[in-house]
Amino acid sequence: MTVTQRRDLLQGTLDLLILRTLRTAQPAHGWSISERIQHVSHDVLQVNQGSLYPALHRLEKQGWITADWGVSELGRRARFYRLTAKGLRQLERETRTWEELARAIGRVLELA
Amino acid sequence: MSGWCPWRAWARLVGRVTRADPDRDLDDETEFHLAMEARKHALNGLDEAEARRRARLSFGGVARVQEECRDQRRWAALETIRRDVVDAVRGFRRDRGFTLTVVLTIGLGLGLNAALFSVFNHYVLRPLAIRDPYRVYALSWQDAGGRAHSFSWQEFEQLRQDRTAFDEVAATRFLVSRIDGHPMQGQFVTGNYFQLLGVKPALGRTLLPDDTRVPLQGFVLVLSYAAWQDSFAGDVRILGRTLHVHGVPFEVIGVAQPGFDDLGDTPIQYWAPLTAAPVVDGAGDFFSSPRPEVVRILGRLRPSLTAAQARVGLATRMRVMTASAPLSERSAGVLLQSKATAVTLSGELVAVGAPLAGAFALVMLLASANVANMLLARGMSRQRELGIRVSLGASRGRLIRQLVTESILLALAAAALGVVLSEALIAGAIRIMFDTMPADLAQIIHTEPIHVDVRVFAFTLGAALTAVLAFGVLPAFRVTRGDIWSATRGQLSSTVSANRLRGLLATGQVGVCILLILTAGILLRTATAIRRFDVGFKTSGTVVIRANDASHGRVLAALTARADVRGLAGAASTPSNGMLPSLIVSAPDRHVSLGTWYNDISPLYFDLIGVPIVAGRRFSNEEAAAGSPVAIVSRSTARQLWPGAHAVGRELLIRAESARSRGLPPYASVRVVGVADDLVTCCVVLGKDPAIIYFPAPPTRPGLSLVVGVPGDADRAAHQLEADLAMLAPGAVEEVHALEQYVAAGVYPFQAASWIVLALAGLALTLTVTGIYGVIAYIVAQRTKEIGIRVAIGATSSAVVRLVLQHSLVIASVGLVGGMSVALMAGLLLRARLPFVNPLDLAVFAVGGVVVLLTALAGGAIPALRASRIDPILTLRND
Repeated sequence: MTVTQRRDLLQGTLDLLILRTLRTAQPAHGWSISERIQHVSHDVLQVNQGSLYPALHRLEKQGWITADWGVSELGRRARFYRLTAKGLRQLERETRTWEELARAIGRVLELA
Repeated sequence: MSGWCPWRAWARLVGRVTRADPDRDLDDETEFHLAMEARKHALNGLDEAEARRRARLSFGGVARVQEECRDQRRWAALETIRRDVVDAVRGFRRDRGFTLTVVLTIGLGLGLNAALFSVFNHYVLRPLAIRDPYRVYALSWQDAGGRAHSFSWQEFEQLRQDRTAFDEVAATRFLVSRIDGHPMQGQFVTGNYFQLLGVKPALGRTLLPDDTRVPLQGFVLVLSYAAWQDSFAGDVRILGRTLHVHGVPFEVIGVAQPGFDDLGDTPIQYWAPLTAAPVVDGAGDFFSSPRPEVVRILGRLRPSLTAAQARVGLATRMRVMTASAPLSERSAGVLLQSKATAVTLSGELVAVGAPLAGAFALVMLLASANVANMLLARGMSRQRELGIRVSLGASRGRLIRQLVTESILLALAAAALGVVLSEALIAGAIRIMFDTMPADLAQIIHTEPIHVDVRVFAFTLGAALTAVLAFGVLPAFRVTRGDIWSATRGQLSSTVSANRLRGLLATGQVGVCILLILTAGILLRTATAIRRFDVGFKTSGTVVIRANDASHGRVLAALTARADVRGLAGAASTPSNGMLPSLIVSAPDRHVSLGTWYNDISPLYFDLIGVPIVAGRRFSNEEAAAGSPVAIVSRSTARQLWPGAHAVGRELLIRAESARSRGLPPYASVRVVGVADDLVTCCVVLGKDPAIIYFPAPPTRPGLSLVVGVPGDADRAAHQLEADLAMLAPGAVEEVHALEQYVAAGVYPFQAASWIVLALAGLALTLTVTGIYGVIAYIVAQRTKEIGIRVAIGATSSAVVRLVLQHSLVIASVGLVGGMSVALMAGLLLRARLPFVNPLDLAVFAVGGVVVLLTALAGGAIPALRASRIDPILTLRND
């Protein structure tokens, strides 16, 4: 079954942030991804965990990230995510789309 | 975890195969996140309990998040299906009556059709239990006139040498016989027969090439597994026992593998070496004489050839082999008949089978229409439920998926019921068949157990799914298309077009029902007409005995010596015998030719069966003994050859080649000495013989059947004679039957057919009553308010009843007109094809019409009564 999901802006943005985070720091587990996004954005972006995990599972199903079980710094079983080649391409695509969008909004804010 | 959930267990199982346990992984992942978050808070100086509380708080509802994760996973689709199934089952449980009715209705229709398909499958689709059945072919050839021929021994020998088409060929010769009082069909075969077919023994050994060496030390035979079980109780001491075939002793050397009873033409009970055939059936030494057509040929096609390629090669070969024969016996082509299945699918089979299958399918259609009506009605009454689901966010696709899931579940249950029912139906039908069949016919008919196999199961499931989906999805689309928003608010839409659809379905049911009733009625009338038909001869007080050629004289002498034998005559074909040989004659004085049946009879034949000689005289004993060139013709033959003139004393020419190929007396011209009244020599179904010529033969001639006049009950006399003759000459007698039995056997198929269609028509009637009932009841329920108002402003209860019954009468009359027009058209096409069938029988049409109208009224009666009791106060207050 192929599910074509129409994602709203926010959800799409979360995907972008996850992929981008994984590109610099991987493998990473869910908690560290959310911490990192929060930290890098100087606590502007608070990642809602209620959307984080479904998003991770969705990205995994799309084949953009993969997950492996490993042992964390706490010595517990944890799930580590990693970007795939497909995911990297998707990240580039989404980054471009985002930049175009941001530029467009910027122009509107400036000139309209 | 509380309680054991089968779904979860199953998901675990799947998870174990495809990936790690998904539920536990999700738990672990969540748990890990919470621990990390709690640690962060703890490092900031909170106490442990507070840290955990905050972690949980920021995470949100754990269960909800996990559920969302699950939805993202691959098995989310399965989850949806599971939910649909659970919902459907819950719905069925709420509506037990509905569910049961649907499953029973479809199951019944399916059971009938699965039973018919099982029979078809058993004979036409199921490969025979032999090695590589799709390469085994029966070979025969045709002359220019299109008549099929088998082979002489010499021809078989030549084809055996010739390896262009077949890897291996075997010859067979079929024999109807009795062994120790049991009627048994034997196949006399060449020694390579079992190897060619790859059939193994269940006990002892099968035949080997050595068994067919000439001369033989002793004769051997192999029993079929079924015969061993039925006639010898599966006794292992059967090996080495001596059985007598036509009085000739054979030693039992083996039992063939279970399920093998030869190649399907008729179940075979034993196989014996072909070299024994001439001794047993008195055919003479056919190995050295060029006597034609004594064996049939079976071959295993070379792997590199297709049947079409092989046919081309064999056709050339046969043309060369028969080049020196007279024109009518030259090969014009060969036939290769696949022996992969018991019966080959042919145009004839389709022509005979299609009407029967059609009748069964019509019943299925009726059942499906009923179910469609029920689903539609249920869908309408569920509009509110569906409306609520839409308002809770279900898409239309989701709703349709839900309704389709329900249909599939119903189909599965109905298919299971259908399979069970079909087995019971087949067993029951076979029992009824043997109980109602003429006793002597039952003795020689063998049936094989017919079982449900993969193909039958697939058919049933497929039919169930087709029926339920075709008739269940339609209502689903209809229902979900309605104005669901207003349905939510409790306003049931009137959906006029749905009512029209339901009315249309019921009308179609009436049409199909009347068609089946008319067919049944016409067949019943036909069977009665055949039973009452004057066959032209005296059926009572006569027994027919056929002895094997070697014992003919002995049996005749024994019968002559008996005090209780009123008279004795011989005939090549006895009355109502089922088949007759034919030839072509011409009257030289009139220049007319006529294809006619012929029969060899001894002088007293007509006296014994009570057929008057209407002109001239019967044969004299001298003519019979000498085989004089004289003939008696039947009254209708005389009328065709010499219309309006006397036949006695005239000359009749027999076409030379047609005489020679049949081994007829060596004369070309005969003188007519008498004219006998018409009678049924061939088949009751075809009426009295249209043309037949009698030639004289002495009763002593081997091969003739003996017609024996007996006092009192012929059946009892037949049994007495059989017992006495069995003592006197064991194995000598092949057949002993009262003459009545032959007539009964000729009528039986028509009786059986009319019973089957009658049963189908009865079922159709029941389904139609319930169908009409459903439609009318629904209309009444919908119009309750309107009827209440009518009553309130003064309508009497009889007026209300009339109002409701009007609906069912409209449905019935439209259906009747449609069904009867189809029947009339079919009748006009089929008229005068068969002498006894009158497809335009007005009495049947009248009775059928009245029955269907009454049915329609009966179907409407209960809802009408209910409508007449509607209390206007209650109805209107409800609103």
